[in-house]
Amino acid sequence: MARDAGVLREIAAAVEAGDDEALPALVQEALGQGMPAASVLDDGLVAGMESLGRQFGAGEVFLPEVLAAADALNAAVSVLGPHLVAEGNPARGKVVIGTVAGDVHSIGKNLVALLLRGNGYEVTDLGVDVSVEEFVAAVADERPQVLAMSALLSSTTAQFAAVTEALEIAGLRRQVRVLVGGAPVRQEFATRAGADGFAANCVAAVAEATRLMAETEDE
Amino acid sequence: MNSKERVLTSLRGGQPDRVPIVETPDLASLLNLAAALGIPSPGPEDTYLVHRMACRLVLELGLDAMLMPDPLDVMEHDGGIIRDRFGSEYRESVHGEPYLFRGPVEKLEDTVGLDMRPAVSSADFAPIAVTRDALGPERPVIMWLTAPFKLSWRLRGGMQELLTDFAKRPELVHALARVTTDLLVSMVEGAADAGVDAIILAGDIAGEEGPLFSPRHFREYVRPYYEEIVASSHARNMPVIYHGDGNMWPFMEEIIDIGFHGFNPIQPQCMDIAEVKRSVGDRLCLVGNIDCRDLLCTGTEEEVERVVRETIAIAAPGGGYMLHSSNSLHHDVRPENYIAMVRAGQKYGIYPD
Repeated sequence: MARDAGVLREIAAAVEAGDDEALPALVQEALGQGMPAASVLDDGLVAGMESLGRQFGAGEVFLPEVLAAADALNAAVSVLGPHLVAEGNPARGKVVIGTVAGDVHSIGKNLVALLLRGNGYEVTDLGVDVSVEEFVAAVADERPQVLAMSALLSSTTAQFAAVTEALEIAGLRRQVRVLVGGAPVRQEFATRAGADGFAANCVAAVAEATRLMAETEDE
Repeated sequence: MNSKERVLTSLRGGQPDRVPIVETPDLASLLNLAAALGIPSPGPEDTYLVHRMACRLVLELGLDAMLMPDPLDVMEHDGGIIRDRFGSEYRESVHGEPYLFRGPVEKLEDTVGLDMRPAVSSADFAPIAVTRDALGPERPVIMWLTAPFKLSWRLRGGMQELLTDFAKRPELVHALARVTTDLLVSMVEGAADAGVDAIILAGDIAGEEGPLFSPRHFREYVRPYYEEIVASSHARNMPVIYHGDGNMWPFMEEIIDIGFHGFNPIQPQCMDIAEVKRSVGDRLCLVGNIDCRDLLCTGTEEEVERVVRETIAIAAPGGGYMLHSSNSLHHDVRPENYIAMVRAGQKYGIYPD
């Protein structure tokens, strides 16, 4: 069967439409045409998600559409995952994520986790109301390249600094990039908290995590 | 004018004698305020602790009303798990705040025959009589109720689940809205029978950057059910305030069309009070806007007074404004700042004769 870039466009469109029924079959079709799994991921799945992300950023689509797309993306990645490994693609990196202590908001954090998985990253989700000690233990145990923390209350954003300080004390700060986000969080706050990156929304968080991953690869 | 006349006049778009001062406190903030004012607490064994403390503070501070909590928000603690009466399960955060992790509805079949109304009893309305007895007939009783959207996502085990349903399972969204709206209509009837004067419907559907879902989904999944609830409340002569955090601009005209009388909390981080007053102030009573995220927590009493003075100058002319925080009083609010907010409201909120 000849390779057909059209299937990649169909994959991207299916991601945008949140069509989790059609997507696994389209991924199989692309692989059946001999396309590299990495290309199916980047030029099909991720391209579709990036397009939807731009629409989300512009206020043209909303959380239901992004959640449905993230669901579909994850269904597709579970089909694609073994092929990525079999074709010798190195793991894209690992992220530990959680909402800080005293804060029980989950939806933004969950969406970032879903999108990171959909972009091929390994994600350990610690949940909500995560203590400083739990974050530090997860960084020690999981050895992620990026630690992503979310807070939706201005009172709980103080936890970001508490975690970065605890990582420093534990001698772990230099081995991980810290990414923070959530409604009250702004760049200057992230900088004050000793974080390496900041994202204003879930789509930006994936781009920022990717940038931080690249920094660790450069070292 | 007494407090009841003042509040109801404002909600119906008129100009009272002064800006009404109403508030939504949590238990921690009530206890902090009581301690600051030297008021002894009745003790945690009192079934109506929150209501009695709220009434005491209304009288002590000269407020027009403390808004009564939703009676259905009472939870049962069972070891490390907290349950509501409808089968949703919660864990407790380090601040003691319950957060949902599981709901009883996973699929459309789980809604067949589901009726939330039998879980409500007359005991749920008993706090209204406690409040009436404590405050007398001259103060209004305003009660929070939780809107179908939030009740639906509690049944589904999370907002994320329901928002995904919006895109993928419309029948399930409508089934949940039906069940929760039937409950709400019965709650409105029960509240009216028990003597409630106005309802505030908790319906968060936006973040600071904008709506959680599209106006199309609002019209499909939310608006028809809100219309039923508001119609039921109108039939009993009870005004309804809509409570929606975040940037609600895309929904404001719909909120008016549905028939809500008031709008709360007008979060200053994303809704400019002057623009809100200009745009909808002649059609909705505005309730809120005094920042409880930063100002009331970390500001000075002088800053609080200045903001209250400025807000009243913008929002109160012609009537249709009630002083209230930009969400609620919570454990981080400094009692001194809230007292300063009330004093400033009493000082600057008097309308000329």
